Amino acid sequence: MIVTSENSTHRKFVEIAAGAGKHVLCEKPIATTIEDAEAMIEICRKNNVKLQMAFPVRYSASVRKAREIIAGGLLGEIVSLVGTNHGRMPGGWFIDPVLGGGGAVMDHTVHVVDIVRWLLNCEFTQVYATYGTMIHDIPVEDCGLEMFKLSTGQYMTLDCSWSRPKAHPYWGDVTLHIVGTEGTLFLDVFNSKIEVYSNEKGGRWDNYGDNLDSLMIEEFLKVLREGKEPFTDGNDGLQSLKAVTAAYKSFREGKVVEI
Amino acid sequence: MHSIAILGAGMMGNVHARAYKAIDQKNSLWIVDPVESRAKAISDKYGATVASFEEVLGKGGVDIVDICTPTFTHRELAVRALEAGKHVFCEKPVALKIEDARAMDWAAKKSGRKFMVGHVVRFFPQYARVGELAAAGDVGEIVMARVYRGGSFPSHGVGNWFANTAKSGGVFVDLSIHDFDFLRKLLGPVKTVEARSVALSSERKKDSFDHGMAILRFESGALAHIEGSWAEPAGMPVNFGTFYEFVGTKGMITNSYERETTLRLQTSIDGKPKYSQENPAYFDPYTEELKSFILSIEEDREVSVNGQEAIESLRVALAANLSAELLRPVELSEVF
Ligand SMILES: NC(=O)c1ccc[n+]([C@@H]2O[C@H](COP(=O)([O-])OP(=O)(O)OC[C@H]3O[C@@H](n4cnc5c(N)ncnc54)[C@H](O)[C@@H]3O)[C@@H](O)[C@H]2O)c1
Repeated sequence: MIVTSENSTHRKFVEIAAGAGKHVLCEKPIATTIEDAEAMIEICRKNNVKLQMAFPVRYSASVRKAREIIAGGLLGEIVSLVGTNHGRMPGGWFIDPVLGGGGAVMDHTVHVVDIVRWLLNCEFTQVYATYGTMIHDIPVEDCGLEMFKLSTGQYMTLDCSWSRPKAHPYWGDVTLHIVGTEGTLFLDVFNSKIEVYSNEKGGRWDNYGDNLDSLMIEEFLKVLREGKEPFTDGNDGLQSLKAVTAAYKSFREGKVVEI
Repeated sequence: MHSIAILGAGMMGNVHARAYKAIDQKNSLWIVDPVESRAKAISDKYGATVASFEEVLGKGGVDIVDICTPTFTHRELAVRALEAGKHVFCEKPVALKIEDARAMDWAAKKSGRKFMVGHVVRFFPQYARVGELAAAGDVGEIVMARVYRGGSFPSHGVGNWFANTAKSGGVFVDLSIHDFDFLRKLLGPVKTVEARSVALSSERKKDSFDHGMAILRFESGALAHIEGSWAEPAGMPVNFGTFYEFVGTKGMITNSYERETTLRLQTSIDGKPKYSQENPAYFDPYTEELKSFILSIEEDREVSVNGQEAIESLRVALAANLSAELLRPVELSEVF
């Protein structure tokens, strides 16, 4: 069963699926509360079904190559990271505080957090966040900036804003600037672009890169066929959600908080 | 026509000497630098007369002193030049401490001479255009900014002074101050700064290496992310770059040094491969900046970047340093 419902209803459907003995592929973020996320992991474990998280960015060949470069020591010691996950304001349930569980911070923090956890084999330990409803007249935040500390010692900033205007030729981006003592690496995961200019439709970018959703679904099929553990699992969903809920807490308290 | 004494015959001293000659061939130049060979190079190239600081202070004919020395020397040189009745142009950052910058600003006020600080980014056409576009309103009100400025470490400094945070202030004070100044001008006063720098907050600090990230919130509510870097390896074909993105309520403005270039060159001479990408232009921002300074003297107008503005930009950079040291967000009001 593939759960692509609103963020706050993931738990309900995962519980139904697990109860019926179905394996689950669940969209990100795993849930809107830590309690829900933990309950989802637990019920899948109890019912002996797999819980895979939909983190397509981790399936990118560029991200995989970056991991090899880092592991090979080519950048020396990593000292800081700067990430972005920009998008357009999605509207619909995404801007419903209950169904979406928040705005841009909830929607666009987890992808980059997930790849960095994997790239550096680390967890996120602290966060300072600031955000606001800056661009659109909506009930949730549309712009946000976060400063994280990683268990491996580095600091990382993340821009999770829905700041791409409608007029922009592309939906958004996932980028990561990794700075090491011996070198730097820049990832722009969705930059395999063709520029298209149409008199009727205006200008847009068309992506010719690997289809990351397909790669992620193929992995899910492997999980089902071979019984292997998912590459992106429920715990990955939980850990990245912890970064999100702590970011909200940080803004409410106006200070750095532990994750 | 002016008689201008340039203090410091390093990288910026050369840039300024060329600019003064471009403004008016008849400008007469004096050059002061304790390193004789450096002073001589500017003398040979631009016909400047080599002199000591005392000599130029005493020369009634010298009406402008232009300070292109390492930052930690700015205060004393500026105050003495102003007291001697000279108009003073000072490279950014104005100084390393607010107290020093205030003393300079005060000396300027007391002397009634012009005092301008080199926040040259305001004169770069791709930045000046942002102000014009913002004013035109096509992208609505600007509410969020992302800026990058960086490259390899500036190892050209005499005695490697950039590597010493006590002398250069580190990457926020020396480099990102360009962006802090520009953002302040565009978005108004800054309220809160959360920043980290490798040199100030990492156990992995390496000499001659820094990378800083700062998150700003402005009084207006606007947000900004500033990345300043001296972390690219030395000897890269492209060793400096800038990027910006300004998001408004109705659109967005973006420019990247790497994307938007007009000339790419690849050569292999005697088997040595070389790559470069550039944006050659006849327009020189440094010349425009100094032209504006000279005009403010000739027409007795306010300079385009006065001491007070330089102090405000320095405050933001120092707030970033403080945040990186204390590992917590800093209110701008904490820095005074
Ligand atoms: N606007 C810009 O884009 C920009 C770029 C680079 C540097 N700067 C600023 O310009 C200033 C100079 O930087 P630089 O890169 O040219 O440094 P540099 O090390 O290349 O040159 C400094 C020169 O000053 C000389 N000097 C030192 N003390 C002196 C004194 N008391 N009197 C006269 N000369 C003295 C040194 O011998 C040296 O030749 C710094 O404040 C720096 O932050 C601005």
